[in-house]
Amino acid sequence: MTEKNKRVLIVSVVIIVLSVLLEALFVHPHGHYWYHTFLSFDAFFGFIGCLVLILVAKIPVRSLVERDEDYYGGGENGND
Amino acid sequence: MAEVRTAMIEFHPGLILILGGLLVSFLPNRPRQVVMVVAPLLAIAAALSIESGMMRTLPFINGMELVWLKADALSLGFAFIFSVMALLGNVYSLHINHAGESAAAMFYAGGSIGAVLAGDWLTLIFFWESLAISSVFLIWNKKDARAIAAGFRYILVHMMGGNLLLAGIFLKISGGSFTVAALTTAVPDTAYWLILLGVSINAAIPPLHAWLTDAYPEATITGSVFMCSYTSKVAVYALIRLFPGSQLLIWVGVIMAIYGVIFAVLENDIRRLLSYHIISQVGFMVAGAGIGTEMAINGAVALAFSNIIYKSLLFMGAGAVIDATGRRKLTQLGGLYRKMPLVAMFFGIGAFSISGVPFTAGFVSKALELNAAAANGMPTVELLLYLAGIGTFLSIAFKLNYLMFYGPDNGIEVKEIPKNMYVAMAGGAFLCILYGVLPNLLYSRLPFAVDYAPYTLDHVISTLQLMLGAFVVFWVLLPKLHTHDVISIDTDWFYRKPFAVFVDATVKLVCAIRDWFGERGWDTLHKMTPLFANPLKWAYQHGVEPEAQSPAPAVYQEDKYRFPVGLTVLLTVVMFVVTAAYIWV
Repeated sequence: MTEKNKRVLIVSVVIIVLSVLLEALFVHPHGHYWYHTFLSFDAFFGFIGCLVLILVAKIPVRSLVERDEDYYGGGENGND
Repeated sequence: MAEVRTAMIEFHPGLILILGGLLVSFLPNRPRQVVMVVAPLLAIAAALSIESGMMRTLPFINGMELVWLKADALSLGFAFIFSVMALLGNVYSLHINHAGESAAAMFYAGGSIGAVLAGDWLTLIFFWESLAISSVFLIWNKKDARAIAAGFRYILVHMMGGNLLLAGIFLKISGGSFTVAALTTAVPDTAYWLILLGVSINAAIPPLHAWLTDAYPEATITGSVFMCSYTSKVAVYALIRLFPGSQLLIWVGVIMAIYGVIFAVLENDIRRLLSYHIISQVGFMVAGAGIGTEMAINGAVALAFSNIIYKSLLFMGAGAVIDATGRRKLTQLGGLYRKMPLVAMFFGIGAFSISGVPFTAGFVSKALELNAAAANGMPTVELLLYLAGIGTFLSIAFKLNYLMFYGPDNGIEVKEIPKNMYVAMAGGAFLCILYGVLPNLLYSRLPFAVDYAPYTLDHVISTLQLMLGAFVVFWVLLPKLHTHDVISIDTDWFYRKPFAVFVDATVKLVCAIRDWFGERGWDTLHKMTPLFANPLKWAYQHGVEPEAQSPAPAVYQEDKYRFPVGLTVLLTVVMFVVTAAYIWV
């Protein structure tokens, strides 16, 4: 990982931490379910959700649906 | 002022666009461009001047009345945004100089408005079918082999969907109900299932969705901007109108929302990736129709409304990239930020808007939907839709945006794109931000009163955290997210592979049978011909005595044994006169 990439990552994490602080200090907890009031829930959900989506797409789904580009025939011109 | 208002009321915004389409089909270039801008403007004015509760009818057979215009808050919201979209789409395609495509696009937009304003089943099915018929030309006009094949698949799937809907509608009408109304019977009957199936095909509900991701990437650049806006949104309108509160739709919608984003992660073709996100977004709306509370339906309409704006903006941006570079695959694109800064900016606004970033239309509408699920006691639905929202960040705001505009530069040559494309994209981007900053402009067009404030500190921070949490994963896994030159098959595989083999085999079998009989018949004919060549010879051989006075009895003279032509003509004329006399006298 290059220096630049690391910097982007560090800045993102710092903003997340700041937003959690902001949430803890100024947001009055309210909502229908526990996860609406759970501090920093959204950051975790975003992190884990994104990981899950990528893993599901890249491992089981991909192995099922991936084909060569000319799978349907070069020009895709009907059934010939 | 009052007179002006009443006079304007009589105009149906859809018919204005259809008339515009007729004009466009034969006018030369300059006047055509004028009509392409003026007709949608008039349609917007007409849509705004119609008042809720208005109804216009036309007498029809068997004492039935066609309700060709029936306005309420739900249909008016759709009619308005469809008219706005017609303007944006037409401005985007002002340069194409192809009367047929411009006309097809306007018929398509007008048909969509006609369908949402239809008050009876027959008017609905008329406009419904017109959508498929007009939009297929937006695919075929690309004119390459892939587009033509995709267009045929598209029209076949839609004809099937239209026929299912028609069958359901026939059952409804023969059962005595003529007006379009919610199908809320205690036990779903045949008509219910037929209509649901017909609408589901247009709404691209998996596994009936593959026509969308198959056809949209093959359409013309300007055509796909129209296509992404109308067909699926008309179906969303139909689901809200006909099946509000159907429990089944909640889960169908959730599956759609996640299905779309998972396939989008794998996709390499930029417009096909965006098409998978249509399915995902329509999933949110289908779930909203299924939840069926006032808030959920408001959410679904708000999403349809803003989706039309930002999805078309994304297709415009992708189209601009394809037009400028001639490339459509992520593996061939990258680093266009410096070469197309304005397109990158407009696309970025659309990408953030679809992801629901604050101060965009996506934020104020998606919030409504998620909140409705939570308020209705459905935490699983809320969280799964929230998860699908992460996929939107991942694939569009991050992956597509990054790999097209900011990723490694592939040294692509970029040609200038027409100015009108910039104008249309600027218009879409402006609306994305306008509705995001002033959500009440959007909320006032929803079917029910909205009591919701999207801009709370809590909500803005949540969105920021969600986005950054996903971004960290994206940034770390970026090397894994680069696409390759492969395709993903989908449920269209069933009719493109095994069904194609089946059709092929059936045709071959029928041909073989025909050939076999043909050959045998031909042989038999050959063997029999000599027998009939000279009937006299055959007769003499079989015991008939030749006439004594005939000098050359074995030669068969045809004219001796048949009527002269004149006699046949005479008989025909006599027969004609007798028949005519019988009819008229």
